[in-house]
Amino acid sequence: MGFSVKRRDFLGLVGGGAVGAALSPAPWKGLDDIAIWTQNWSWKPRLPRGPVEVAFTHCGLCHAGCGLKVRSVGGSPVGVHGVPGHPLSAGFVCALGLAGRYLSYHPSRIVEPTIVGADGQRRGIPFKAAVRQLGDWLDDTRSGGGHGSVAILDNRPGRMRSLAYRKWLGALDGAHIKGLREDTPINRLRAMLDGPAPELGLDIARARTVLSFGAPVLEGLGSGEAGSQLRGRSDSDKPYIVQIETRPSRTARGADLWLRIAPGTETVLALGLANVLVSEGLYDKEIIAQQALDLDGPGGYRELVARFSPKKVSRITGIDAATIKKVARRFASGPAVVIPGVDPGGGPLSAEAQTAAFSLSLLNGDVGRPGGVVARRASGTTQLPREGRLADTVELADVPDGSIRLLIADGVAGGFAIPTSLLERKLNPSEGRVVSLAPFERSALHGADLVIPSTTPFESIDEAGVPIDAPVDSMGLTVPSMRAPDYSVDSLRVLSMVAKSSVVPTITELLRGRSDRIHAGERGSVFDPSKGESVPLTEFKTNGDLWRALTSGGLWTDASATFSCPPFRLMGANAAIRDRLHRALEQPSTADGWAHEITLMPFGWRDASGDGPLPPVMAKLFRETRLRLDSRFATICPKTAGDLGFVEGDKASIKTSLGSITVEVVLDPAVVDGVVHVAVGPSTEAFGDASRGKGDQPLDLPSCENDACWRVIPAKMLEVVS
Amino acid sequence: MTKTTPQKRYGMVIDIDRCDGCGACMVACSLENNVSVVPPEAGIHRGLTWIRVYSVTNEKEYPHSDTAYLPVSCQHCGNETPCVGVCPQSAVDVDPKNGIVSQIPERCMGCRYCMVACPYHARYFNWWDPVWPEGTEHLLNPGVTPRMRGVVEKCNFCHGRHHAAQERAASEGRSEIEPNEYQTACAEACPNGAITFGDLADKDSEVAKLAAGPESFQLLKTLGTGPKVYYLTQRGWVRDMAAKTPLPLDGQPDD
Repeated sequence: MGFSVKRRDFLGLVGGGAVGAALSPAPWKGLDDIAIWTQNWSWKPRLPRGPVEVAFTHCGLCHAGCGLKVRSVGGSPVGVHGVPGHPLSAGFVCALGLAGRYLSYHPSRIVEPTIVGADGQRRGIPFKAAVRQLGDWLDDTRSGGGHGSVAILDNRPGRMRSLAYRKWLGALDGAHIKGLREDTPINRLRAMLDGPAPELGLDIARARTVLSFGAPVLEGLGSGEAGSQLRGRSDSDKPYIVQIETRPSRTARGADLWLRIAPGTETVLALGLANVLVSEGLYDKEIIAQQALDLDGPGGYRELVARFSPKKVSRITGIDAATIKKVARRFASGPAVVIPGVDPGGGPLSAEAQTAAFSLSLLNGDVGRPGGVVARRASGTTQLPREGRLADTVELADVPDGSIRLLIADGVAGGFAIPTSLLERKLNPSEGRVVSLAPFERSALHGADLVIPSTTPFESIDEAGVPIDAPVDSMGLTVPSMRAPDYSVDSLRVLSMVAKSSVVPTITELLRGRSDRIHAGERGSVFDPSKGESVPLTEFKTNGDLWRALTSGGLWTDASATFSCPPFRLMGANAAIRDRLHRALEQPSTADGWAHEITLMPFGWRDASGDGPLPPVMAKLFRETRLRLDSRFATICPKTAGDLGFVEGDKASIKTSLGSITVEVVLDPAVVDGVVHVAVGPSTEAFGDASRGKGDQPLDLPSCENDACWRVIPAKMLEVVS
Repeated sequence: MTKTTPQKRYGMVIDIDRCDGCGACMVACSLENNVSVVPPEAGIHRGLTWIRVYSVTNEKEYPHSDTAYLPVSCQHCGNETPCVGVCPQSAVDVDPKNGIVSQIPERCMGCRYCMVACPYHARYFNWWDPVWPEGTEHLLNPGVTPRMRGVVEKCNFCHGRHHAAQERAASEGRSEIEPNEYQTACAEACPNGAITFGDLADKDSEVAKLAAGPESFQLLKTLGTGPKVYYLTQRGWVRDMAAKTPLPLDGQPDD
């Protein structure tokens, strides 16, 4: 019998084989291999190797100074965690703190000194040449300038470093200028007190009511822990939070009561609340009778607030009269904290709004009582190791226009953006120069004539801040967890190299000096993060023991202080502010006759570095989720959009007399009619860049001419024709 | 006699009324699990986020308008886990000892059937090579391997932390880990205490008590997938929204 293969058999074999192969794992394996072969990375990921270490430090990215536990592998910090039981942060770390170590490698990091040449182009120069140039400019300024012609812009005043700045400036007859901080308005309250006042803090934890004028109470105000604690506490145990804010912020949405106030009418509402307190006799009569210097008489506070009846205030602020009365009565029912907020992008309230707000604290007898405004003793911070004259510290708004010939900007991250135009106005128009000591490109300093990059908070030792809601003074250190790159330099070293007539101590000398003075004071306690417990300071036998504890991530906290409220002026001592309070009922005029159809309110996201870069992972996540819209988006209410002819997703141009920005329209029914909100801060594109043109554009639009405020900007909103 | 280990059922309860959309959970998760930074052109549909916080509104006019933030990760379905059945590569694993649903990137061939099958859109595809800004790879968590382009990834309840806790317990002669020894990065980082993680099988655990409470609900419960992630809210409209199929969430990943 012969064996023959017919064509049909052959085709059957091939077909059967194909079907069989298709049913076997082979093709799937082939597909898998192809998938793997295409997975060629452009780089080889090298995960850190080496010994595992755990160290404790404090976060230096903002003034809250949260306690951190840093896990390192091979010298690289690979994990950041909160420290449970920490007296200030109680285990809290914000998103920025978690990812902050990535900032050291941010694309906007400045890696060499640069100078703007005669051709207007920026170019790199050697470090020594940069310092020599700064010294030459300093000599020029000293020979031809008057008081305040040399100035340092300090984003975190109150540190030992700040005192060294003041001493250095004291020898030059210079000015020490405060950058914006959350507790900037507290100085307004201090100015209302007659006579010297200690450092003040807000005792939110023990307050019965929190009256917040736009402060991010639930988003990480102060120690950051405050908001989480307030959210976590039971209703009977936590303060009643009243949020007075135009924007539907996270705090506004989460507050017990949100007063959606008309833009720029905080002064009127505060005086309306005061009207109820005074007319119904709800104020602290004993304190007011003994200490108030301007309650009665012609032009006095009583006469002022009498004109702000709830009915009249309601028409201006949009808050109904019954609610105004209800809030005033609630406020007067116990210790309360008033917080005139500073927005990371929108800046501070006007001086008169801050004064009117704090007058409520004084009326209620809250200054000096637990649950209100409490005193912090300044321990070891008021003395430098060496004698010397200290320059005065001034607010940026109070610096005379055109007076600065050489402005040196401290490198520390402030978290609060300042319009470039405001800085420029303070500079001498023909000879004003700016030197930046920041480690990153920052929008307000984009035009700095000279840049000498400094270290980031994870790379250098410094003082962590004392948050606004800390009732006592404290000292914690940012202990380096990363090696500082060779191109970065400490700001005090720069000043010491150019100092001609004074000696500038190192930051370590300054901090050690304060530590020693704290030890000599024998007051307070020290928190050990590795054990999670505090021990009395007196248990530290030598000053070296305390220094070792602090440089191991420990935290010294002072004992609480008592403070009796001195005599005060409810309208403050400044005549210009008193005048503005009396004119608060007048309608605001529109600058230069600029016919506006919409009110632009810039704002910034808390813990998203208002004027600094954003870690790439945060930029990526906020870009993907649109949880925090950046300056490319404008949020308006559907009615306003309809009136102006916009729908969601449209491109629009927001214009003022100074310029325009292009935005994408986003609708939110909670936004006030006629208002547009645009965020200021790092762009979520390009890995969170905060340099020029990356998120700072809204602050090109306000003129800041009246009182250095840029919260409420008259504008037009026009369609962009593509 | 061999001591039997009681079966665990790890799960999570998220209190929506405490979540304010700060995003700390997303940041902590990404850093813990080396979730790569995709390029900006990824847009909102092709990014990588093992836990993604969605902003949802009741679409009413002020003063009745309301916004809630809904963190959504893999729900670690305990019943007919949809992604398991459709995977041709057996790249999805359900640990019978603790109920954690894990993705095995080495087995995944990137067909994305699991993404189609997942009703919660909690799975993400690596469209790009994993990239971090230059120099930052030595800041990555050495306990978690970065995934490659072309595979799917998702929340695994910080499996690396689970292993580390087990090792620690074993080195001390214990067969069981204590509840406070194993926490997910998102639960640890949430500043508002909105996320509670633990063993749902332990009736005395906080997570089990919260999950059994009257305010507790599951996303798309009617599908019967048995999610081990529960949510809490007192707001009725949020519950109604969470029952809709598909979930009305903007910015979900593409299938």
